[in-house]
Amino acid sequence: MIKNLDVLKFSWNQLGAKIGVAIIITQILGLAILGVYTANYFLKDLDNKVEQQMTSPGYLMSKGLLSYQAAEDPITMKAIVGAEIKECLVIGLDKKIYYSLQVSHRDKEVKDIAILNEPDVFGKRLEGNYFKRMNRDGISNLVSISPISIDGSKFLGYLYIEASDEKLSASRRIIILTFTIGIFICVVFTSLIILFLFRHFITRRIRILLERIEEMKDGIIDVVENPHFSSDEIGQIHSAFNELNNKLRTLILSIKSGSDNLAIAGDEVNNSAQILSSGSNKQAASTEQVSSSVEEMVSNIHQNTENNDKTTQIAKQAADSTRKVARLAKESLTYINEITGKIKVINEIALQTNLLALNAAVEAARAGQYGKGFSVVAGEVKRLADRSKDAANEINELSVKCVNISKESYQMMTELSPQMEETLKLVEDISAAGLEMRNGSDQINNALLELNQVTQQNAATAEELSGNSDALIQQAKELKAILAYFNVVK
Amino acid sequence: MTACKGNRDSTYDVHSDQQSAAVTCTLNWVGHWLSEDKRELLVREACKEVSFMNQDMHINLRFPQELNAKQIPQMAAFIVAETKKDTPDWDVVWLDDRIYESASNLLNDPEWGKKHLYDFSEDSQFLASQKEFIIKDPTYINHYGGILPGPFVEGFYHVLWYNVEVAKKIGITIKDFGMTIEDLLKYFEAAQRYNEAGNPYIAPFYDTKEWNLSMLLFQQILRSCHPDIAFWKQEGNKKQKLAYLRETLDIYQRMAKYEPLYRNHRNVNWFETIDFPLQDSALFYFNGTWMYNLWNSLDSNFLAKMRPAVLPEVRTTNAYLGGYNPSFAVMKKSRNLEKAKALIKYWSSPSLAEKWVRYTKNPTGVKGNVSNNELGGDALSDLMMYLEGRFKGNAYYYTNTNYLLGSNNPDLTGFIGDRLKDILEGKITSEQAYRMILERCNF
Repeated sequence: MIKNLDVLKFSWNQLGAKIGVAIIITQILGLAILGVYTANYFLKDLDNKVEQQMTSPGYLMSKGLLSYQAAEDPITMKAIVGAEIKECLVIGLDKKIYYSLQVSHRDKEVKDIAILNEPDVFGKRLEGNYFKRMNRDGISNLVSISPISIDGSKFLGYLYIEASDEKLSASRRIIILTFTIGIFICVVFTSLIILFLFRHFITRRIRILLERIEEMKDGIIDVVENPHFSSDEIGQIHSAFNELNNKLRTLILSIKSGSDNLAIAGDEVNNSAQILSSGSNKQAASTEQVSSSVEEMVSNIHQNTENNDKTTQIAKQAADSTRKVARLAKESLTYINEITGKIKVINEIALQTNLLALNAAVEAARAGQYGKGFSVVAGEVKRLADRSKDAANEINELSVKCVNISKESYQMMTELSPQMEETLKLVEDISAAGLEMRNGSDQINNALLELNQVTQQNAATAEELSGNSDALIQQAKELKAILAYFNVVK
Repeated sequence: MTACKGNRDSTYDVHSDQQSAAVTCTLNWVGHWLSEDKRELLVREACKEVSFMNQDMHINLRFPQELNAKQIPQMAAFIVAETKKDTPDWDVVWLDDRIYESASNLLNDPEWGKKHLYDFSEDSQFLASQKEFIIKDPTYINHYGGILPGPFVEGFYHVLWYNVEVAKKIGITIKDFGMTIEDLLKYFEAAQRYNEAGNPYIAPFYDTKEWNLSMLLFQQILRSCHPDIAFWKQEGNKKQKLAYLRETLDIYQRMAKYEPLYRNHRNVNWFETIDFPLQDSALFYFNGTWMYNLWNSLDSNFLAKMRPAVLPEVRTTNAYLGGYNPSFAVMKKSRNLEKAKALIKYWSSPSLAEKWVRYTKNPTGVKGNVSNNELGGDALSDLMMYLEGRFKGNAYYYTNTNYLLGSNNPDLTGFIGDRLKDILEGKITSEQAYRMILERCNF
């Protein structure tokens, strides 16, 4: 309620006041024109009604609805006419006064009564009503003269009524006053209503919007629920503003959060940059040390490489020799195996010989005496076979031993050969590795040199980064400080 | 005297056709009700209004008092004198049933009206203006020798006026409605006791010398012995009528026990003692409702003291004591007959009928614009409403004794009235009075 009274506070800065004043002026002009027109209409109507009222008794008398006697009854006449009756006369065509409100006028004639000197209507037929405002000693009176007839045909006389104009004047004044007051009240009420409506539907909502904008200007951006305004333009502005508010709020919150993170990150970067700078410096120093060490190592590696080359040559020779020994052992074994085979042939021959000897002995046996010589030969042969066999067995044993040794030797060589190969390979690998190491160490050395340069650069960059991160932190702080202006409730 | 010109033959009207303001005639009118409150005003207003409506005519209004014709016999003589003239000086005269009866006696001609008064019974406009019972009930035309001499404006009922303060002194409460003969006897008895107790004398029943009020009560008691008014309107039934006469006289004898009659009744004049009941000197006053205007002119608040009661009945009847008078009649030989008829027309107008009721609180035989002219509001109006509602205009009042004794016998109104007083004063018995009446009749 008190808030609603704000509408009464006048200020040219208020939109409502400007529009209100415009409306009120328009209303005053409009209502004044309408009031004057209507008041004039009513005043004319009032005059007509008064004339009608003042002449109505004559009409009623002519119709037999009102007795002539009523002219002498001020209450009745006042009730009909609606005004204070000062004189009421029923005058005959013969100019005699038949009825008179004032006793002194009774039974007199027109010529005896001063107020009847004007107008000169008596003594002749009066067709219409006579109505006039007359001044009696400075007082305005209403005078009407109406014809009295019977059924509109027989003219009997006149009804003269003189009534006070006071009531009519008062009525006129009341009408004017009523219209004036009415217009005033109308203006006031309609203005209040319009202003209230304007305030309720426009100013208030604009003010709410303005308050929001002012809050926003002050950095206060709250969460705003869309008030249940209508969907008119202002409602739409409210909705759009609320949406903007909420989006802005979200954006500011994000920026705030980002600035916080940026500040933190700045700090971290600064720390890292410092660490990096420090590390880079240390690294540079270390790199230099490593570089010198590596140079020395490279020199050693070069030496090792040369040694490796030599070892490789030796290992190659050893491997070749080994492979050769192995091949020879293999060949020896082959030969021995061939010998063994041959022994087996000898042994088979011995066996065959023995068998033959045996057969020969058998045959010799069978040939009895005849074969005794032969049995001796067969026996010799058998012995020889046995001896061959024995010799073959001995050789075989020896060859088996030799084979075994050869096998073992071959085996050993065979086994040694891969090792030798492997050794060679290892040596070669070592050599290759040494070479690669040399190359690598050279590269390392070069890399270290580059690393040293890079480290130097990194240190410089870290220094620069540290400086930049300080600036970033400063910027983040400044951004936070700026964003701190917005009071955004999460 | 000058006669009005431009008379119309076939119709009459309140006004003439004059368009000129020149006076051409004078209408002489014997009015009525002088000094009777608004009744007089009504006459004067009528005079003025008719004058205005007929400006070619001058109305010369005079009241009987101004013509030495204040009372009924004098007015009757006045009219009779007019009838003797070739052209009567007075065009319109006061006339009611008693005056007509009195003139009839003077002229020894019950039908003198036909010769000397204008008869409105053939005037359809007039007939339409009168209430139906005026036209249909032969009583009214019979009262005037077979004619209707004028508008029956004046209606009245006879009632039992009583002084409320006196009744209070005596210690009785009077029944306004439904009073019986026994009730009336009790009231008289109470009044007697009051007087015998040494209190200042109060007349239980006020009566006067020249107007025998006992006769009013007599008509009421006698007629109410039979419930139907038609019984009395018929000739014949002599035996039963005489039996009712005897019964009525016996009731009077019963009243006589209580010495009800005003002791000085033989010395007082009715006109001169109108205010007597207002002076707390009498309990009952049998008279018409016209007393309203007479007393109102003396004391506008008299109804607070004088209260009307319905007259007691022997049996429940269908008619009540009262009647309607034409009030004014037009002399047949009037030189201003049309103007006179115009005046009578004015008296037949609804507006005047309503004004009559408003001014007099009495009924009228002229039709008004509203069905019931009286809406109650005081004791008299309430009583009027009761009587109008119950009897619907069926009123009766006889100026002679033909209804009782037959037209072949002389009018014994005065004689019977005197005998009634004799009974009430204890001078004779009812039996004696009865015989005295019969001795005068040709049965």
